[in-house]
Amino acid sequence: MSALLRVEGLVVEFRVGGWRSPPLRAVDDVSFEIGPGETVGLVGESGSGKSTIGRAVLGLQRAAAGRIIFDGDDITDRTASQRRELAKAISAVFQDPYSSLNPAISVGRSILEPLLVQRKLDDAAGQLKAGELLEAVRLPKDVSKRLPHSFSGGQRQRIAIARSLSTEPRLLVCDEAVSALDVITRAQVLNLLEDLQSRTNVALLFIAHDIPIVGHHARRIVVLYRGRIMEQGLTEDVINRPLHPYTRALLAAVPLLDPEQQSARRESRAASVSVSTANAAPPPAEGCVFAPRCPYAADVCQTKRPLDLSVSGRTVQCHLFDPDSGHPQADAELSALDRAASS
Amino acid sequence: MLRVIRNRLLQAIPTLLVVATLTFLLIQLVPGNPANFMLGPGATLAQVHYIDKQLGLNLPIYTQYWNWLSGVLGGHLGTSYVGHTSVGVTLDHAVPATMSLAVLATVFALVVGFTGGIIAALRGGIVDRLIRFTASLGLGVPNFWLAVLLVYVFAVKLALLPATGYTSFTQSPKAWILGLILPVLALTVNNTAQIMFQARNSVLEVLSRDFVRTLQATGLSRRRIILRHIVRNAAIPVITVAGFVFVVTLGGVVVIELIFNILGIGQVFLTAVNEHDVPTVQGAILYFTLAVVLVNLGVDLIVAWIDPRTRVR
Amino acid sequence: MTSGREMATPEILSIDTETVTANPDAPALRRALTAAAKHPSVVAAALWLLLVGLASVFSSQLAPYDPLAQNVMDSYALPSLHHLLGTDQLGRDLLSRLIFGGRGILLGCCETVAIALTIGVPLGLVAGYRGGWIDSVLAFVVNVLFSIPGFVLLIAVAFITADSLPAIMGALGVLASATILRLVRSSALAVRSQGFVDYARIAGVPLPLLLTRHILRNTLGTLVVQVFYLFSLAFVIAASLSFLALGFNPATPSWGQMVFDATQNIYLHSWLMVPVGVILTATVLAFQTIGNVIRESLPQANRDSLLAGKSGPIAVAEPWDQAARLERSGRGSAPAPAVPEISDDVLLRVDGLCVSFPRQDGSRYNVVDGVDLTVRRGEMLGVVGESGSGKTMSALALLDLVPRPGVISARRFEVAGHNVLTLQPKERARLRGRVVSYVSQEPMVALDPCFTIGATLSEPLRVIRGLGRKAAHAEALDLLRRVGIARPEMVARSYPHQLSGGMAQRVAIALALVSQPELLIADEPTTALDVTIQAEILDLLRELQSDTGMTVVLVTHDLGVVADACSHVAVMYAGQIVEYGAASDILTKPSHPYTTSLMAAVPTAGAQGGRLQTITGSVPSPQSWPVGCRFANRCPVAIDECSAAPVSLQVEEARARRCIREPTVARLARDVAHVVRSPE
Repeated sequence: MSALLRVEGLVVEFRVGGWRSPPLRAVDDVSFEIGPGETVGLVGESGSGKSTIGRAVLGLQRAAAGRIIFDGDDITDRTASQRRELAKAISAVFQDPYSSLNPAISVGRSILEPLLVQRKLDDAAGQLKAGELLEAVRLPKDVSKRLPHSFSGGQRQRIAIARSLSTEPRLLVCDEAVSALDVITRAQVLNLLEDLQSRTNVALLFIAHDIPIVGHHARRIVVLYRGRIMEQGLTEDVINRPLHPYTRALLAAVPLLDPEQQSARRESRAASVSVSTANAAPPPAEGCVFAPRCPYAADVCQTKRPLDLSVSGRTVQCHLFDPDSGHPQADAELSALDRAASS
Repeated sequence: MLRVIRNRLLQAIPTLLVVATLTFLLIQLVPGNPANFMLGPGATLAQVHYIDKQLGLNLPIYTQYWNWLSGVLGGHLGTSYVGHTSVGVTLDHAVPATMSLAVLATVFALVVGFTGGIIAALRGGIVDRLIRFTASLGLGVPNFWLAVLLVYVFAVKLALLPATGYTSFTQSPKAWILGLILPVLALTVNNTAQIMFQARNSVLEVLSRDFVRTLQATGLSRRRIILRHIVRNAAIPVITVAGFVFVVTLGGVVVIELIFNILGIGQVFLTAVNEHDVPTVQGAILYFTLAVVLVNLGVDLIVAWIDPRTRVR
Repeated sequence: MTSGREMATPEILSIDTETVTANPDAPALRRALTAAAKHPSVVAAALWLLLVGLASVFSSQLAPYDPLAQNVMDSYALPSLHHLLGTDQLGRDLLSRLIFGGRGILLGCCETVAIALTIGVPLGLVAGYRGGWIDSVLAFVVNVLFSIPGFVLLIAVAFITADSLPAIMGALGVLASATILRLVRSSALAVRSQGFVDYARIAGVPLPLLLTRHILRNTLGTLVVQVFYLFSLAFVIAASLSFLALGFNPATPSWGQMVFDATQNIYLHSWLMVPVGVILTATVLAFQTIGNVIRESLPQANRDSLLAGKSGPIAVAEPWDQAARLERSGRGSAPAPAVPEISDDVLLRVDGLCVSFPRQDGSRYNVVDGVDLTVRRGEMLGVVGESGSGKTMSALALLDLVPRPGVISARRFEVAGHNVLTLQPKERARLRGRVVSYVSQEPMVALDPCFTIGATLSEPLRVIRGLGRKAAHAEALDLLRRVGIARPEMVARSYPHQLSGGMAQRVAIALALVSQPELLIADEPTTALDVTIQAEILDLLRELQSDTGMTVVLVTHDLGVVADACSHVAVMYAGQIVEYGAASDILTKPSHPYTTSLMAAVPTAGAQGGRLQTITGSVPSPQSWPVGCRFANRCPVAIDECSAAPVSLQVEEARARRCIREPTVARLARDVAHVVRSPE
C-alpha cells in the first residue's frame, strides 16, 4: 500500500525567550503514515505536539528537520504559491467553532473561499455549490447568505466541515475538531464525518486529546507525549492491550460511565503513575520524557533515550520492551508478552 | 525587578540617541543660512563666511554632527546665536516652571481622572452618565480657550488669582501655587477627562474577569476587592495612558506658558523659533525629548511593578 | 479576541449576545454603527460636523460679508441684525470670519488622518500578521515616535518649512501613524490566531486578500473609533497652531487666530471669545462623542460585571412569573418536593430556584427555571447538562454571584441552617467563603495576576480568619501541601501566569478551602484540564471530602466525571432538573430519555467504528422554551401528550424524573434513537 501522507523524522522547534536561549522542541523525531481513505489518530495531552504536527502537515508551521511527503511529493518546504496547488488536496477542521468563521463575511462566502481561490466560479454556480455543500452537512441550503454569529457551535463546525470538503480533498486534518462541542452535538458531528468519509473516501488525520473519541474513529493510533511518539499501532491493540506505561496511564485516567467499573479503574489509575503532574520533576535532558512520572522508571530511563521498537505489531518507545536496554524489568515484561501471544 | 530596570534603561538609550539624531538632522533642513539671519539682509559674503567659520557651519555635516553630539554628551548644548549665552544655562533656568506645570497637571489628571473613572464604572446609572458628560465637556474644551476663560473669570472678574507670571517655589511657596492654579487647570482638564474615560473602561474590563468572582467566593469584602484588586489591575492601562497624557501636556505647556507669560522651556523654545536661534531650538527639543523618554521609562517601570507578567523580556 | 471566553462560559455569553443585538444579521461593525446612529447625541454630533463641513466648503456662498472687509467705525459690535454675531476689533463680521475660519484647520485634520491611515494601517497589518524582525523594527520605530514630544516637533517643522501648514499637518500624520500602527498591529495579532485565518491560509488565499478581507475587516471597529479620536486630536492641535499663528496665514481668518484676537481684548470686549469657543468645543465634542458611542456599541465593550452589587441580586421569595409558572408546571398544583422533608443532615435545600434576565423590552425570562435541590452533608452532587441547560447559573445562584443584571429567586433557600431568603445582602455576602466556596472552570484566569500565590492565599487568611502575617503564611503553605503540592514555598512565591493549568487549579482549590467552608461549589473544575490531570483533581476533591466531611456540588458536562467522583447526580435540561438520584442508580438505570441520550452519545474506548447513537437538534434557547416537555422535540419516544402540558418532577423513593412515559420506555430511547436516526 503506498501511503497518501508520510511523515518522516519530523522535528518542529519554537523560539522561546530571547534569541540566545535554545529553541523548544515541540515535535521531536516523529514518523507515521496515512493510507488513502484511512483514519489515523494522533492522541496526547496539551504540550504533546499533536496539533503542531497537524499544522506542519498543513504548511502552517515550518519543520526544523524531517520530511513530509504527500502522494509521493515532498511538501516540507513549499512556498505559499506552491501550497495553493496543494490546498485542493489537503484541508482541515480546527477546534474552536467560534473563531472558525470570519464574522464579517457570509457563511456561503466562507464555504466557497477555497474554490474561489482555486478557480473562477461564477455566482450562479457558486450559489448552487454552496447549497449542495450545506446540505451535505445537514444544514438548510438557504443559510448561505447569513453571517456566522447566528449559528451555534455545532452548526459552525458543520459549516467548517463543508468548507473543508468543498475542494474534494484527499486528506482532512481534524485538529480537535469536536473537543469544544457538547456531548450530543459532538456525536452528531462525528457521525457526519464518518458518513462523509465513507462517501468521499477522504483520509483523516484525527487529532484529539480524548482517547475514546480517537479510538472510536481511527484505524490506527499514535500516542504522543512531549513531542515524541510513545506508542503507535492498530487502535484495538493500543487500546485493549496498551504496552507503553504512558498509554496505560492515559487509558486509566479516562473515566467509565458505570460507577462500579469506574471505581475498579480508579484503583488501576492510582498505580499507573508514580507521582502527580504537580510534583513531577522535569524530564531528563537525555533519556525518556515520561520517566519522571513512570512507575517502571529505572536508571537507564533517566540517561538513555529509548529506541523505537517493534513489539507485537506496533512501535513502542520504551526500555521495558528492549531486551538490550538493561532495564531490570525488561525480561519479565517481554516474557509476559510472549505468554499472552501464545495463549 | 532590578533586571527589569536595567533592561528598560538600556532600551531607553538607543531611543534617546535616535531622537537626538533626528532632531539634529531636522534642524539641518532649515532653509537659509543662520548667519544670514544673524547679520540681517545687508551682510557681506565675508561676514557670513566669518560667522560660518565661527559657528563651525563650514565643516562637513558628519563633523558638525559629531561635534554637536559629543558636546551634548559632555553636557554642552552650545551657545545661543542671539544672546550668546549658554543654551544649557538658559534652559536650566526654565526647567522648574515647565516641570511644575506639567507634573502638577499630570498628577491632578491622574488622581481626579482615576477616581472619577472608578466611581463612574462602579456606580453606573446616573452617576456614570453625569461623570461621562462632564468628562466629554472636558475633552471638548481647547486648553488655550479655556485658559483665556479662566483668566477672564478668576483674574479679571473675581480678581482671586494672578492672571500671569510665575513665582519660583523657593521664593514663595504660596505665590508659586497661586500662580500655578489657573495654568495647571487649563492644562489638565483635557487630560483629566481622557484618563477618566480610560479608567472607567479599564475598571469595567477588570470587573468582567473571572478572578473577581473567585475573590468574592473566598469571602473578601466588596470594598477590599475593589481597592486592592480591581484598582490595581485597572491601573495598568491607566498608567500607560497617563504617560501619553504627559507627552500631550508638554505640548500644551508651550501654549499655556505663552498665555500666562510663564518663562518656561516652552517660551524659550517659541522665542528661539521666532529668532531662528538654532542651538536653543535644538537644546529645547532635546530637553523635551529627555522628559518624554524619562516618563516613558517611569511608566514602564511602574507597570512592571504592578503587573508581574510584563516583567519577562 | 473573546473566543476563549465564549467557549469557557457559553451559557453566560449566550445571554450577553441576545441583549445586545440590534439587527442580528449584519457584521458587528455595521450593527455597532446602526446602534450608535440611533443615539440622539450621535445624531446631533453628526449634524454639527456636517454643518461645519458644509459651511467650510461653501463659505464664499454662505458668508454674509467678506471676512476681511474692515469697518473701523463698527468695531467691537455686539450681535445685531446686521452682524448676527457682532464684529471684531477691526469691525470685521464675526460670523463670516467663523464660516471661513475652519477651512484650513479641517483640511489639515483630513490630511493628518489620511497620512496616519496610509502609513499606519498597512504597516500595522504586516507587523501584526508577520511578526518576526519586521515587527521588532516597527516596534522600535513606534517607540521612537512615541518618544518625540509631538507638539514641539510640529513647531520645529513650522520653523523649518517656513510655516507650511501641509507640512506641519503631514508631520502630525506621521507621528499619529504610530498610534494607528500599534492599534492595527495588536488587532491583527489577535485576529491572526483566530481559526478562520488558518483556514484561509490553508485554502491558499493570497496575502493581500488575506490581510484585507480576513484581518483588516475584523479590526475595522476599533479603527473607526480611533479615526474619530484622531480627528479630534488633530483638530485641537491645528487650532493651537493657528492660535500661535504657526502654519496659518495671518491674513486669512482661522479659529485659533480668532481666539488669539479675543485674548488681546479680554478685559474690555469679552464677547469676542464666545462664538469661537462654542464652535471649537462643539466640534471636538462631536468627534469624541461619535467615537465614544461607537466604541461602546462594539461587541467587545459589552461585558458583564462579575462583581456583585452592594444590594446584590436579591433573592425574592416568589419567582418572577410565578403565575405563569404555576399554570405551566404541575397542572395547577404546586410542584411536589423532589426529596423527603428536611432533616438534620441536610446542608443545602433550595426549592423553586430561578435565575432571570431582562429582555430588551424590560420583561424577564428565566435561564434557571424552578430547580429543587437537597444536598446532605458529605455528599458529592454532580449537576450534569449541556451548555444552555442552566447548570452553571444554578451553581452561581447558590453563591449569590449571578452576573448582573441577573436576578435570583426561590421559594426556599437554606444553607447550613441559614435561611438565605431572609438575610440582608451583607449577611449573604458573609456566607461566601465561610460557608459556601467556589472553584471555577478556568484556573489560569481565576487568580488575580498581580499577586503571588502566597499573597493571594494569605489575604483571606488574615482578613477573614484573622491570622497574623506569619501564621497566615504558614497556613498558606499548609493549604498548598494539602492540595498535593510538594514544594509549597516555591509555588507560594510564583505568580499565576508561571503555573501550569493543573497546578493553578490546585491553588484555586486551596483558595476555596481557606475559610473552611461546608459546601464547595466546583463549576466544571476539570474541563480545561488534561485527562490525567482531571483524574488527579477528582482524586484530590474526593480526598478532601473524606478528610474534612465537606459537601461538594460538582457542575460538569461529562458523565464520566460523575461516575468517577459523585455520589448523587442531577441531570439538567433547559433550565430544569429532568432526573435526579444516586449516581450508581442513574448511570446504570437511566429513566429519562435525555439521560439515556447523553449516555449513548459517549463513545467508549475499545468499541471501535460505527455510528454513535445520537439525537437531532440542540438545546432550545431560554427565550423559546416550549410549554410542554422541553425535550419533547428531540425525544425519540415522545408522544403528542408530551408537548401538551408542562411536566412536573415526579418523586419515586430516592429518585426523581420529569417524564410522563414509563421508565422502561424511556430506557428504550437509546435503541429507538439509533433506529430513528440512521439515514438510508
